[in-house]
Amino acid sequence: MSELPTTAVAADLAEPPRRGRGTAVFVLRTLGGGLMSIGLIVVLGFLLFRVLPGDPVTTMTRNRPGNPEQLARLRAEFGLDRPLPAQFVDYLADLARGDLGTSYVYSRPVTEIILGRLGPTVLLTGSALIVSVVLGLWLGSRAAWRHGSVFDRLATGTALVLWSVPTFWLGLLALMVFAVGLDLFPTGGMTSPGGVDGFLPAVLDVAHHLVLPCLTMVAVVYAQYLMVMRSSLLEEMSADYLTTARAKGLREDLVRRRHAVPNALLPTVTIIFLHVGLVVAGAVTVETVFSWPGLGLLTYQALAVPDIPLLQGTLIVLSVAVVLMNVLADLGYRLLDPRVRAS
Amino acid sequence: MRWVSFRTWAGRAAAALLAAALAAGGAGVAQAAPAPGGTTLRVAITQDIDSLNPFVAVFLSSTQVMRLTYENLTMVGPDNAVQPGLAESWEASPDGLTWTFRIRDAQWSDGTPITARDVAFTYTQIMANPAAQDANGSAVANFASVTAVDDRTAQITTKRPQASLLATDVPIVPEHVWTSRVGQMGTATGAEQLPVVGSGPYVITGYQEGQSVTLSANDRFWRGRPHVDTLQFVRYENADAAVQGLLKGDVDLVRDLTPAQFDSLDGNAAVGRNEGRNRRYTELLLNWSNPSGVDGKPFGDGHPALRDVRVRQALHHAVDAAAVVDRVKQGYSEPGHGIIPPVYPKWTFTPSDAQRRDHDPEKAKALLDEAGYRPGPDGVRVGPDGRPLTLRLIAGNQVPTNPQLLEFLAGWLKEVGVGVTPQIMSSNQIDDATVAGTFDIAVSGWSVNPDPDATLEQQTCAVNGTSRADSGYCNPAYDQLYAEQQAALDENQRRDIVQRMQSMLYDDVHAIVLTHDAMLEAYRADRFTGFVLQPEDGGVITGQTGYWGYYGATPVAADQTAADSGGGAGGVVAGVLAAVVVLGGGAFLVTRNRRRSQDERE
Repeated sequence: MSELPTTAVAADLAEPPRRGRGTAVFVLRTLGGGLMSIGLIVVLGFLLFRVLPGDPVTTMTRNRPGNPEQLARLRAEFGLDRPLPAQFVDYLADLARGDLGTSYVYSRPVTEIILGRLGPTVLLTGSALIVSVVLGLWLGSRAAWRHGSVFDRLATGTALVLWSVPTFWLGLLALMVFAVGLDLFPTGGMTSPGGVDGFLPAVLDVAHHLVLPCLTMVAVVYAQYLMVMRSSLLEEMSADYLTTARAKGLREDLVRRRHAVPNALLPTVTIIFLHVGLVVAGAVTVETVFSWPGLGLLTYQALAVPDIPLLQGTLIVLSVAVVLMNVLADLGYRLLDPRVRAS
Repeated sequence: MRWVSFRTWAGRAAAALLAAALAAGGAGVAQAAPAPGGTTLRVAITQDIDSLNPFVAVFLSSTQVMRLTYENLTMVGPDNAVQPGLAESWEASPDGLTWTFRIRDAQWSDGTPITARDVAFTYTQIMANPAAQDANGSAVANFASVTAVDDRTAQITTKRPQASLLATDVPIVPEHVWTSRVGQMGTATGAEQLPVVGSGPYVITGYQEGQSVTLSANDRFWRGRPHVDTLQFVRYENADAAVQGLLKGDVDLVRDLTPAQFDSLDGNAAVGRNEGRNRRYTELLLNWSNPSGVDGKPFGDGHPALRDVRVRQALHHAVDAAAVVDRVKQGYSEPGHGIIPPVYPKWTFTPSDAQRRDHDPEKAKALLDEAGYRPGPDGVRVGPDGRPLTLRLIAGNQVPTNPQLLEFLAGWLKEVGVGVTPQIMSSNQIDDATVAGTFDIAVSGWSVNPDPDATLEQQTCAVNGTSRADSGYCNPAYDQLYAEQQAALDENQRRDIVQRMQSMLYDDVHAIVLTHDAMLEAYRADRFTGFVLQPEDGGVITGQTGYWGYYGATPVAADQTAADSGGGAGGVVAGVLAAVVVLGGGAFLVTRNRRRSQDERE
């Protein structure tokens, strides 16, 4: 992943060698910063979840018989009887081997559990992100172009109303209206219970289940893209180069698409990349309302135990995703905006 | 130009992301077993499945599936009395140490005969293999050996006599399948090979992690094939969505509803409601810092006043269990006295008129006066040592009605001059506080098995300081009786001892047992009927000790279903109403917003 923009940058800047070296330093510095953040997260992940109230062994044996020997055996099995520094060394050694430990609750490797949940999460939040970015940018640029019009007020108003509505409430209403009342979509899950035969029917089945949770997420988040796009385009509106473009005889549509929007797009790139990082974190609320088997929900449930290995694992995976996307945003911004490169 | 290339790149990336994600989702589906034909009963579960491995699974949702898949040696029937399972008959030796079971002539779902060797294998694994002890290790703690005398005869030898032996709730697994998994007993998911080979009414034929478990009727089930062909447990993350699923028909049975959700389904012709008398109790723990059984020293930092039995009696007189039933639990509950719920009439305890403590604030005040706690200047009583009688009152946030309960309790206690600092916390914090004894009064509760042994054990000295401990009670006389009932193989004798034990707890006010709450369930009565309740008089369909609720279910004939479409129409009306509310509300907010922005501009 990280190679794509790096090579693009290198190819772009082939001619002036001095600037190329500057780019290399910049790339290295950005990557180094990212690595340092990940290192801190690894340490934090260990300490953070050991401060949580609750004894995992107590929670695991709640509501069922457990004698002291069994509790001691469980403690030994999970290494909870060892001193904290020793546990930390074990944790680092396991991590170096790519082993995130074994979940207390599911008695299975954390890596396996997280990978199983990653697909559904990326599908839901990824598709919601794409739809909301496209919708937000499109509506935002239109609204700014016809600033103050009925369209502007309606688009901005609706977006802000949806933005401020509680997700849980909106999701349940969508469920009541579109799933139960109009009988258009299922009430929960990612597939029909038990699954469907055949590849195409299975994809359609997932798509059918995806509509409501995806739309709920889009409704709640697209406002931020709309607002950022609208305000940055408004800043460009009075720029001289637009007058020049119009003077050339370009149609309004082309002026907007070719000249104004590309320049106004830069601030939105940062916010999009930040959200791409958070895609992995999913959306606990939407996942809860629509029973979507995602990663956000898994984390939330793990907190209640606390299932320390699972929490450590999700924290590391989620944080690495955010850090990676931040690094990409830094690099991508430089690629997109010559002014950043020049400075 | 550069912008265009970026856009293409972004577009391709997005398409690739979507395709990959869809493929990932699709791949997950492709692995799942196809839903077989015939009738399908779908049950919404709001708890995750932790495992389908009977040696590991402990969540209620999972043990339900295990009970459907693997038959026990003996089990309890809808009447909560012991019934034959894989064992068709049994007898105990005169010393009560050796139990001989006659294994019935039945087959596993793959056609292999079920023999005593399967029984010996299962129990021996749990006794000897640490990886197999997670779920049921403590059930065999008193077992010395389990052997197969011949194919049809299994023998269990215990270290001490054990009256509760026939209630041992351990699924028996097929040796020919599990013998190759001995090394992975602690880590196997239990669904590696589908269909799962089992002996119960249903066997697992599909598992979508975090989403659903599909079970198909077992043709070789010894009691006879169940009437419903397919049983599916479908994961819902919240009960509100599950209720919507029930209205729409995505699921046929939902459980653990709140009173509000339950009431909202009233009058819907398609939906049957069941207010099931459940096997749980809700109690107030009083921290009287008893010497713990662990080291013989008082533990925790409970208010010293709670060590005086008169203060504990006064607290009991101050609270109004009937009001808790009516106003906190909306009537879906019954006042309790002992730790064994009335669903077990054989063991439950009702205090005599002489010992019974009813809601009586005047009596509470008199008892507190007598104990030396005189009203202070601010209404809070002050003890002989000058310390005000102000108690910490804690409750977990996992029960939605707890905040309300705390308000009522605080009111009742203040009325008799007891100061209260209420606090809601996470269930983990409650566990920590009750095990360590860092509280004064705590709202707590437990589920009770058909055999009372485990619940009675929770009040013994030996469990104090562990997560099993309930009230921190420690009384050698009680422990003596506990040992006696364990060895009492004559049921009448045992019943008498268990009554005396509960009476002792009641007189000592080990805790205040408040209520036995109902389990609220709802199902599509237009599609299914015949759910067997446990207990038979007003019990529960789901969460039973056994499989009776699901096993009894029968589909409603098709012609009746067609005539009974009232529920769907009701759903549409509700949906349209909701749509009107949403659109109306949205329009209002938009116009308001627009008006405001116009104002701002002018």
